[in-house]
Amino acid sequence: MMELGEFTKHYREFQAVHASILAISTDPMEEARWTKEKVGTPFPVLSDAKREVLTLYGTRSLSTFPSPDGGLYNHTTLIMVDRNGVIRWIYRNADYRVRATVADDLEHIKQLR
Amino acid sequence: MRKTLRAVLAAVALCGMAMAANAPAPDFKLEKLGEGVWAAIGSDSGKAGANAGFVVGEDGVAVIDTFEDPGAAKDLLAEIRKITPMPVRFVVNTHYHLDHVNGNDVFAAAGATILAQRNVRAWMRTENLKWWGDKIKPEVKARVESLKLPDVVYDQGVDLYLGSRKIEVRSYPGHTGGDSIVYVQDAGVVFCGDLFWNRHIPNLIDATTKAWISTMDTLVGYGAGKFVPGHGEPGTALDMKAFQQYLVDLRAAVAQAQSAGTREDALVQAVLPQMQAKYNSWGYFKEFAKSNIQQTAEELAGTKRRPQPAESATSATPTVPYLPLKVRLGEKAPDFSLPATDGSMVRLSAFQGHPVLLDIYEGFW
Repeated sequence: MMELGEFTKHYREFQAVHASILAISTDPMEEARWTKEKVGTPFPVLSDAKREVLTLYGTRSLSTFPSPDGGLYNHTTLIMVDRNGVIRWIYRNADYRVRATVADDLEHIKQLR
Repeated sequence: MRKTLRAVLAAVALCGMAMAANAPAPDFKLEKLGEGVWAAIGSDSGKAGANAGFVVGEDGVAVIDTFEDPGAAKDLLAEIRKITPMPVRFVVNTHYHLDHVNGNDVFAAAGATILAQRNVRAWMRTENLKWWGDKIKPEVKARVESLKLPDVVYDQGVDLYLGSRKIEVRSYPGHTGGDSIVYVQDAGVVFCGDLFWNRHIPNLIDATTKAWISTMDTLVGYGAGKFVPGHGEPGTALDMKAFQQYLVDLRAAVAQAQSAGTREDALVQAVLPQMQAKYNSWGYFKEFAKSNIQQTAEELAGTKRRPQPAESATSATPTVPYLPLKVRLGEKAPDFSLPATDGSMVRLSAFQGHPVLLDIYEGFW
């Protein structure tokens, strides 16, 4: 959830470089709705409950880690697609606690131009 | 239930049997679930306080949980002694709550090694004080602070062997963040501890219902014939699904009340009748239904307090956790179409002409 909040806070900066954000998770639609409402994301939150995109892109993690709230952390994958639909940047980190910053994301978008 | 028991006792007395000289009947009933697999079912108001169980293997016995009362634990040990002379080699604590661990010292004295998920050892002597708050009596506090801790801890699970009999112990999130199940594959029995409450309202004080709902799917996936709950009678996969549905219904009702702007007492009053209509007949409804609503509201609002997990090798140094990606830099991103929360379908190719950042998660946000 941490990126969603960050992306929401900095959404204008993404808009300024004409970039869109698509949030995709395996949450069922009901949970995705709840997440969108709770975080108030201005960009679409998509439900991949059947793991179609996850399988297509191969963004599977082998393990999960207990989070302090008793739930599980999963690994996030950020993929930057340029205006021609070509993948230009992929971010993953073995340590789920290290996430790309919004500044990193914006920098990569600017490099695309 | 109680009436039946009284009738049986009366009948025994009338027969004038010599049993009167013996100790009173234990505060739980034993139920054989398979060859050498026994559940010890406590009553809702009895001093056993919860269910326990044991598995007899080729060279020893493994016990699952030790009740709320050391006296009940002694009775359990005595019942095991009637069935087999083999030593109790292992005790698994399914979680830290007092009603599952207070007889640990009885089995440790009998020579057993006690095992549990890492957090159980971290929480047993501290988190168990919260049931009494500030009003805790000095002797109760002393008892909790000297509970027999697990000798062996694990993060994800461990396999135990009683000779050739294999027992799988696995940890799953949901109820406390430090719960384990005990799976006896050759008998098709899963001892679920408090990850399963059969026709009983659960205690959600430490719970994460979202994780718990997925855990229930995983447990049903074991395909066992019998699932032993922490409270209530042994059940089947159908009973497991009924319990999962309770958590789903509770979350949905609380979320709906929250979106309608309802908070605190008003929220409880709004949700309670809905839960009452469907679950009034379940055990512990009076005890837990209201707190379930409050605690789920806190969970959904992100304000719920939960015990802090113990630092472990796994949580401190995550290993490389990925399967190889199927996409590469410089290649065209495969097109897809997924439903958005507003009901529309969103297709990646529709964004042609603008950069798109995909934030892909597996599982929970």
